[in-house]
Amino acid sequence: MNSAVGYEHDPQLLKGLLGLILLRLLAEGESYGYELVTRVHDLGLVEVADGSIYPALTRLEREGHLESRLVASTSGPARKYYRLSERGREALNSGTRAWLSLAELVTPLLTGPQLIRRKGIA
Amino acid sequence: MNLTSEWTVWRINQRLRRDVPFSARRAIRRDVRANLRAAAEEVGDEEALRRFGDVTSVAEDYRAALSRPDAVRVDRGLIAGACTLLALLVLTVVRVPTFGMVTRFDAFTNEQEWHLQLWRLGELSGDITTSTLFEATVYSYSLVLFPLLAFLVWSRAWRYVVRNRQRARA
Repeated sequence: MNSAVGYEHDPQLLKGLLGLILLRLLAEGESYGYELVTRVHDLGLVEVADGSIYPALTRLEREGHLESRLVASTSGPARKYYRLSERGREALNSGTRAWLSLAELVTPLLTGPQLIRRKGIA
Repeated sequence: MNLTSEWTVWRINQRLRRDVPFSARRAIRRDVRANLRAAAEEVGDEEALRRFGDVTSVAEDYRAALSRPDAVRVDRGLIAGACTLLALLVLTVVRVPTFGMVTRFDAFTNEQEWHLQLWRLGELSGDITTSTLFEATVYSYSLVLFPLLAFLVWSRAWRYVVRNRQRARA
């Protein structure tokens, strides 16, 4: 059981990571907006509003990280399926490295026994 | 798709009207409709809308993703051009009669007609012999020039030109 599931996450922090999360999910295969919403929620990130994921997908597509195609749906309007582009794959790799590097720096600080003292302060 | 969902789509569209081009807004409307429908099938209309989040915030996210403040807005320019053309055409059919109240335009010279030439763009005039106090003639130059000017200003083409010049200088 993931201990992070059920914990209330900061929506602003999640918003900053949303693009990377979506790129990672789409690296597993193409998907459409609401399916990605459910997958994000299944990860335990239930604070992410459905409405914040669709603009994030639009932004990623505009930046060239995603490609899309319309697929007719039997139950309503055509659904827009997104898939990762080559540029998106590169962005995912560099974003993952950046996140791991940041986490490597910040985690010891936040979880360590003592905070690092600034020079000159007793 | 119920009315509440369609109302949500409309509200997002309205909030993006000034900053996002028509074609992009159409794509957003289609996308939001399809996703709201997919969500409603799973959790019901009311819950789908609740989970969708605040419309203003969603519109703001779309605006941040799609708006280009310095971009040329062809659709806005075309509307402005069409309105200007229409105004000029209306001006050409406007005629104010004298209603028999005016017998001369100048009491001293007994002038019965007046003309005001507006360079090569048009002409304003009046003529007692045709019972016309005021009428306007718009020359073909104006019918091209003014709508074109309106298009350039409203589509923010001047910014496009400036940006290109700056790039050329750089």
